[in-house]
Amino acid sequence: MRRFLATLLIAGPLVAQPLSKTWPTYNGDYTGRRHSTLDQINSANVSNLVPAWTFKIEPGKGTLGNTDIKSTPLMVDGVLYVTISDHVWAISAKTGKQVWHYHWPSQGGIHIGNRGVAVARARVYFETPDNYLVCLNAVTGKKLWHVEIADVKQEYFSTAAPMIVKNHVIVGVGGDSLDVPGYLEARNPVNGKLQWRWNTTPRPGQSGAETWPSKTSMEHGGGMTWMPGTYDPQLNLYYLGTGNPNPVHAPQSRLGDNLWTCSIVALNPDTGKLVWYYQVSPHDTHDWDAVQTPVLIDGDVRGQKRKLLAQASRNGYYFLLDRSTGEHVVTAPFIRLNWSKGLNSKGQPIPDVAKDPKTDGVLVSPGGGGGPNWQAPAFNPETGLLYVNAAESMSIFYLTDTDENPQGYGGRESIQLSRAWLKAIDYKTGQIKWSHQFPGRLPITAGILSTAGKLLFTGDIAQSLIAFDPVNGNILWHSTLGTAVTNAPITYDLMGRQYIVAGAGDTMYAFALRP
Amino acid sequence: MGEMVWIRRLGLVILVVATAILHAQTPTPVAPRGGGIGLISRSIPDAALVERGKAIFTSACSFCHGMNAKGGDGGPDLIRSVTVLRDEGGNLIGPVVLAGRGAMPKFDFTPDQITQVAAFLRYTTQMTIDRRTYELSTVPTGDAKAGAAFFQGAGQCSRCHAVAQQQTPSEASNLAGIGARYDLSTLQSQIAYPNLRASPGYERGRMRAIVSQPDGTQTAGIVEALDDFSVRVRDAAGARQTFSRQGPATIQLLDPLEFHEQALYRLTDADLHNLAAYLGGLK
Repeated sequence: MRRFLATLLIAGPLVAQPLSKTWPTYNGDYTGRRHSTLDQINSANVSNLVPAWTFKIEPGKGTLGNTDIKSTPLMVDGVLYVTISDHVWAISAKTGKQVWHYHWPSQGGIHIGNRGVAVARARVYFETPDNYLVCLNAVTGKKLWHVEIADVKQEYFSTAAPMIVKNHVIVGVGGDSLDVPGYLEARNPVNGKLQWRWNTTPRPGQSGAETWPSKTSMEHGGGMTWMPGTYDPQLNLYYLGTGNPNPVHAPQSRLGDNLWTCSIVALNPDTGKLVWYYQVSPHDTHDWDAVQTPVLIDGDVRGQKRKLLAQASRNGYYFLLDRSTGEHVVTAPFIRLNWSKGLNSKGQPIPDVAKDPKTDGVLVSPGGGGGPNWQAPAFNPETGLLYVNAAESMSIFYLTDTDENPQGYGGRESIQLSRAWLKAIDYKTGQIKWSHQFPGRLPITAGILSTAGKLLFTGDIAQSLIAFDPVNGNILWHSTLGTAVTNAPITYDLMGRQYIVAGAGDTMYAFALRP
Repeated sequence: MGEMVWIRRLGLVILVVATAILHAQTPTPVAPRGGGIGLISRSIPDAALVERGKAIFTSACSFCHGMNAKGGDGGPDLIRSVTVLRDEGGNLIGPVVLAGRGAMPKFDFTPDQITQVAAFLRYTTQMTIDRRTYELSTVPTGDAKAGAAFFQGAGQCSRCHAVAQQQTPSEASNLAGIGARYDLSTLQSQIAYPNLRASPGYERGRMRAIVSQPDGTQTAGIVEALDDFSVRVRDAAGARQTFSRQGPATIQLLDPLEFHEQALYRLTDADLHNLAAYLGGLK
């Protein structure tokens, strides 16, 4: 117990080290690579991977919404923390037995899912669909406090895993239904008090305001912050992808690039000030939130060592930037797409106005769910490949609100066909090194884990957890779970034994080598 | 399932009924395919209340706030009003109406009238929030003649699809009368990629497998499940078998919709609209 508490107290600095025995934050570590240095399980022995334990969540009566486990569990000193909307479970990482279960009594909000908790100094932090940041005692699961971070009555709903950076709990919000303004907040980890708020859209007079036609449009411009970001401790920059502008499909009242929606932004985590930005989808009209992980890569560009940032973005383009300055390095499409007329001089895609939603419908690929949606990518520094689960899809987009002042989404999409792919992108060029098409036409639900054991773990769209060879995409191992993996697998080492853990539907599945 | 789900289901039924009442001339909205949008945070009011509230709003409020409550001459947008969004049955709207606010005069509404106006505003905001209620256009914009020419020519549709009742049946659906079966947006979806489970052609369009064992026995049927490792086949008699894709049997997969999957990426918006105009006329 004392060791447990002692480790919890230092869970913060754990995050800054290369990912190994624990999984202390949403993406494993601050880089977002989801690449573990553990190699006890490797390509030579993966066929000996066997089930270690399972844990089925029992949310109980009155549970609302989607109950699939979408969260990336955190593993801190022998305890796994798993969530769905309104619920947190602490379970033994060794046996899968429940330690405690907390249930937040909800006042509503869209219950689409929850991405996970943050853990620091014996406290667990998570967000709720009715927009509360809740703090629990990590040992007992008892609530310590809660604070409201957005108004559920204005159709905000929160699903993000909070991110702990130094003494800041960084929380994001969601909600495109009613054209409300997006923002990111930092909260005090002891009492939840607001430290700073960064607005995703400018206000009149601010730089960036010139990309909106009116005060009303920028105050109702969306730009939600519903995914965790990444962090460079040396540069002291927090990187985040922002959501799409509102009204989602009816852009006639928001002509202009609509900064800083659909952008990769670098913020000072102590002040919330914007340091640089790069907009990946200027004036988006297809719901292509650019919230995908801004993966931090220390690599080289034309022989020069550079601090880089890569995003395989929802709109179907791969971007490589210098993460110190936001300078553009590479842009390349990595799925079939038909909505852009090419790239401008800054490497940004130029939207084809003919493919904006129309009252009689237009065929757009990818559909609104994009190439990749929110499911976690992974980067392997040995192969130099960024691995992404991405759809190739086609939708018909309809404009339904032709008013000069549209409200709500203002349009709708009809999904025609979606095919799921695992793509391996060369980080330096954006070229596809290999790809694997999953049979079937179902949506992607799983994220990706990369390990130093020369393995790549993810779920297909049917019912299996699969280990791929990261070099060439060959399937090396699989386990048929009976239902599709719905979260991103993680790995950790407990008392000398490495585990691979994935969530599929209502059950957590742990695997380890045959003893 | 809990009480909450029941209330919401009831609410959705009421919403659909209310839609039919208030938009008598437009057909029922087409549900978007694929994916839900989760739980809506507000209950839908009774349709009769909404109707009466609309009448009051139109005569007393729309001059300033607009017919659709989006704002107008001097009156703010009520769809995004925090007061309206937080209101329950008139508890917040009522005081504003009775006392007036700034440039807004006061109105001597009865409690019933307040309840009705509140119901109308709740309904209006929900119709904006819930995009499943958005109505798609039913007016074809394409050129039916061009659609017919494309159907017979560059689109290659007539290679598989008959359009006359008496034509010899083929693997592909006979499209005679299709314009009477589907509204415009459903028809456009079926043209782009035919995947509607309710359609007569659905079973015909499903993937097939022929599984050949080393001893020569064969199993053929509809693919019910497929992944990288196995395929589950249902034969003509209804018997189901699962085969490994890693041997020893060899498995041939046939997708009757393969042409459509390729064609989907070649289809222009003009082709789509023209085909919809042509096929929409086949009643």
